[in-house]
Amino acid sequence: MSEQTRDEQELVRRAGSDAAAFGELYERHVKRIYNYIYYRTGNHHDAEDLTERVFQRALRHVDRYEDKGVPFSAWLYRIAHNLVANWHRDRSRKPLVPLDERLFVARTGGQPENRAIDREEIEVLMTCVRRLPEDRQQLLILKFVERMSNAEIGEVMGRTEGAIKSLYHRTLNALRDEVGAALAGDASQSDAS
Amino acid sequence: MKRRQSQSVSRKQLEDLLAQVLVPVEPDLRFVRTLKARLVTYRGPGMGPIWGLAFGVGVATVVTVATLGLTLRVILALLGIIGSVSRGKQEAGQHSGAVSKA
Repeated sequence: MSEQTRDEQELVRRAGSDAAAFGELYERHVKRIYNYIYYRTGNHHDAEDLTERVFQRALRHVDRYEDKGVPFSAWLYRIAHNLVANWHRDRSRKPLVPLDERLFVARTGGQPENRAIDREEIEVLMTCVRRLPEDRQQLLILKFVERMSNAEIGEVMGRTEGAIKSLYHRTLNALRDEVGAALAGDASQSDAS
Repeated sequence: MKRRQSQSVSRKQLEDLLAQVLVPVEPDLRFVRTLKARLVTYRGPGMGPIWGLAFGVGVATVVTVATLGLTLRVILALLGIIGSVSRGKQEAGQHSGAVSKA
C-alpha cells in the first residue's frame, strides 16, 4: 500500500467523526466527481446538484465504509454512478442531453467556418457517446477526462484490467461505426441541399 | 476527423478527438466552497452540534420565560404599591375632610 493510499485510508477512518478529515477528502475528490457527473448529465446545474448529493451520502455512510483494497475514489464513483442512473430514470431521459454552451465555446476556436465544423463534429461525437450503454460512457469519461489507467478504471467499475481493455476496444469500435454513420448521414444531407 | 475528406474514422482519429472533447471542466469555485462549508457544518464532530443546538435553544427559552415572569412580577408589585399608596392617600383625604366638616 502506497504512502498516499495509507494517508487516505487514515483520513477515511477519521472522517466518520472528524469534520476536518471529511473536508480534506472532499477537497481531494470533488473536481473528479463533478467532472464525471457533468459528462453524464450534460449540464452544470444538475452536475452541482448531484455532486452535492454524492458527498452528502458519503458523509452519512463514511463511518460504515470498509477498506476492501480499492481506493476511496472508487466508492465515491459508485455513489455517483448510482445517483446518475437514478437521475436518468427519474426524468425518463435517455442520456441524450445537449451539453452546455460553455463546453462548445471552450473547445472551438479559430475561423468561423472551422468553428462551425468543429462544433458539428463535437455534437455528432457527443451524441454518439451519449447513445452508448452506461458502462461504456463511464469507461470513456474515466479514461479521457480522469486520465485513469485500465487498472484504476477496473477498480472503480469492479472489473479486471483485462475486461476493461476488452470493453474499451469494443466501445471504440462501436463508437467509430456510430460516428461514421452519423457523419455519412450529415454529408448526404448537405450534398442534397 | 475531417468529415469533408472521408466519412470513415480511424481508431487513432477517434481517440484524438475524444481526447480533445472529453477534457476536465472546472466547477464553479463558489459552489465548491459553499458545499464544503455545508458538509463540514452539517456534520461537525458527530451529533454534538445538534444536541448543542437543542441545549442552547432550551436554555434560551427558559431564560426568556424566567425574565418575562420576573418582569411581570415586578410590574404587578409596582402596581400593588402604587395602588396601596393611592388608596392610603384617598383614605387620608377622606379622613381630613370628615374632620374639617366636624
